[in-house]
Amino acid sequence: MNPRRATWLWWMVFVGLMGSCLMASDALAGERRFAVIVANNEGTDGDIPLLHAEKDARRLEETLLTYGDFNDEDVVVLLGRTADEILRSLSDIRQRMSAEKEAGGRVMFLLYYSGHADAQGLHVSGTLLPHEQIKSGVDRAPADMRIAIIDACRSGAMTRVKGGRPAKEFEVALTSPSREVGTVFITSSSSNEDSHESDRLGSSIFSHHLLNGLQGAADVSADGRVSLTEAYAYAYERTVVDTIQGLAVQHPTYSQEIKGRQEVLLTDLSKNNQNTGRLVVPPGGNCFIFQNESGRLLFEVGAVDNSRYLQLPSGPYWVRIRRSDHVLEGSIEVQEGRATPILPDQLRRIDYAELVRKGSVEGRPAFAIHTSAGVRSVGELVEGWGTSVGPLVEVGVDLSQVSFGVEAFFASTNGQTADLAFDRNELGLTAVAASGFDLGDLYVGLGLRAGVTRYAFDYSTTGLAPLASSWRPSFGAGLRLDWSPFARALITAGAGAVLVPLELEDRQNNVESSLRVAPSFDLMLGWYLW
Amino acid sequence: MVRLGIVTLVVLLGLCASCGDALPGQDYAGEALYTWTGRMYVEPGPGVNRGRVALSWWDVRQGGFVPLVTKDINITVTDDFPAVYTAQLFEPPPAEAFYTTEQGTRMATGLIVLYADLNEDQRYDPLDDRVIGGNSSFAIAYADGTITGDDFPLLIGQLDGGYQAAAVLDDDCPPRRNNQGMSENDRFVFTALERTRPRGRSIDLIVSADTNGFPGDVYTCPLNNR
Repeated sequence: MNPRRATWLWWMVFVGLMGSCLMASDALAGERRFAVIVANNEGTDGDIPLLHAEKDARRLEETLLTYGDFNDEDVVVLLGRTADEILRSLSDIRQRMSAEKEAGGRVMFLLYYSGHADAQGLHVSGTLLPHEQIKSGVDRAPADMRIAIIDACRSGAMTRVKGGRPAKEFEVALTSPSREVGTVFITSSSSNEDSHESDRLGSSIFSHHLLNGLQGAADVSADGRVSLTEAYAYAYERTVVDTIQGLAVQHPTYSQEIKGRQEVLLTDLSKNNQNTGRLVVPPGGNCFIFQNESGRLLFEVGAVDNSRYLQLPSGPYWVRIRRSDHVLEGSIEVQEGRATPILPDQLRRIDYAELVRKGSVEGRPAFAIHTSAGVRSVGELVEGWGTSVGPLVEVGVDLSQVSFGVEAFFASTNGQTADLAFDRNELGLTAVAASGFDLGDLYVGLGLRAGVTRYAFDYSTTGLAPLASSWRPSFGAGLRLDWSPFARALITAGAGAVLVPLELEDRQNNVESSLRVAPSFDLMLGWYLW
Repeated sequence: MVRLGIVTLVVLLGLCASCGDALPGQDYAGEALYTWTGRMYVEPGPGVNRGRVALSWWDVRQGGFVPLVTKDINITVTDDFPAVYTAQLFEPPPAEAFYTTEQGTRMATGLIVLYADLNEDQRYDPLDDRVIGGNSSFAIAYADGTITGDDFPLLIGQLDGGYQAAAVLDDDCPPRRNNQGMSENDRFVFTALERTRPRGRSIDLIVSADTNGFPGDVYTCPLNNR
């Protein structure tokens, strides 16, 4: 794009936004809005059934009715319909819009589709609805403002935009008429890209962010109203960010022919909407709003999103704020007609390890690496050997269900038999596995250890007792308590038993195999490295 | 794959881990410096039926009534008849047992005794306990270095460093021993020591019912006094 044209474009957008702030006070008034919301989980032969398309459609219906100034009788929802049925519904609603226009009213028409598609058209319940028919149907709708939102694979064919050319902002021409007129097509991906659903989001990725934006997350001007520009810009950016991390990247597209000085406003959150309230999100971290603690994700506000609120139906929600090394979560009640701020002090803090044990959270790999050091005490394996006390170091990996680690232990002590005294050095290297559960701020785990220990004896005697050393397998089991008092800190206490098969020599130099067990106790301080 | 790999590694570690020396058990005493065996005879008659075995260390040049020191030794005894015992020494003689030859070489001379631990303190007490048997034909000698007859008048031949058995020679030196190895006056009589190897000739221990109280002194009868 020509840099000079780009500069002009930005200026135009800025002026357009400023103008909308001045003139948007009654932007939703005096306009009758019609919507046809189409969704098909079932495509044509060869299409894998979608899971969330029809659910997304219902969510959009609820959003438009609650915040978008649409009347119930003017919103038609078509789920799992064929091409003929969809075209017939479009014809019906076109007649109603004509009647409204003839009566002198201003009309907005919004068409939404979520489902399968290809470069030729939409795959609707075993039939094909060509893009040309949809585009023609929208273009010819007797409305002042026509908006089509297509959330489907390769939907960019409708706007004839190939992948790889990012296009974020609208160009708003500041010429008459004063109110916006025209047609806008928005697609969830370019003509050679797939659109994706997310089980984590419980929705199509694009529709999720679009709906999020319509309920406040996209309100960068903070005027309580979400314009088409704001909603698209928000959905575009979040869709690209989400898909670029794992799936094939997905670039929403637009095409538009708009005239007018005013922004196209889609939702008005500044009204005292019945049965809704405003949830204000604090800065720092990504904020996720769930139906309940174990329910599905409903909305989210990103860490870098300029708009820090969502307009939501009043009621309880489960909130989770993810920060760099901990998560804050808790229940929040959104009160009708009021702004409810999320106060971090009122949320429960979950630090690193417990966070990992909750499993993959919002797409982050669920593992953490820690290192610890401390002291271990092992009781007498053989009478006269004395208790081993020495330094212990551990490096571990915490997964969601189990933790693994490697320990090294050293002890130097002295003991005696009936006839002689000795110094004993002990060096152990063991592999550890532990699994357990969280109890408040504590993690209670059962650990198993297996490895090798080298015992070396140096005798003190007036007689003859040569140095003796031996590598022996060692096994252990016990309870483990982990406490993370802050951030990445870790305190571990363990109690259990050590089992070692030994070959013991007596006074007559007879050697006997013996299985010895002794209690062991650990205390360590650690740090989560990642 | 990762889980199987860890289990395999642990098993391999376990299989490879058991190697090296045997480690000290509760009563490990080191390597025996000297080992000998013998038969144990108990003469018929009244007497104690339980005894402890000790080495009673004497300065045989001087004889005397009280040994330098007496210290238990560890033996194992079979249940056969006659019982066979095995004795092992894991340390040099106690420091109190040593005396020095004319050449300055330290040596010690021990007699094997059985005693009744009458006060049950698991050690020999000259005034409280009673010797009930032993062997006066052999002594257990220890030398810090090589000792010859020139260095030690009571010695025939040579003693090497460390432990060795030595025969006690008693010829024509009053008072005489009875045929059980005990003097008529319950004496151990030393005339001379001669190094010998008890292998094949065991150092038998005799528990005598005739022993009464302390065995009396150890009487030295130097060769040149005969």
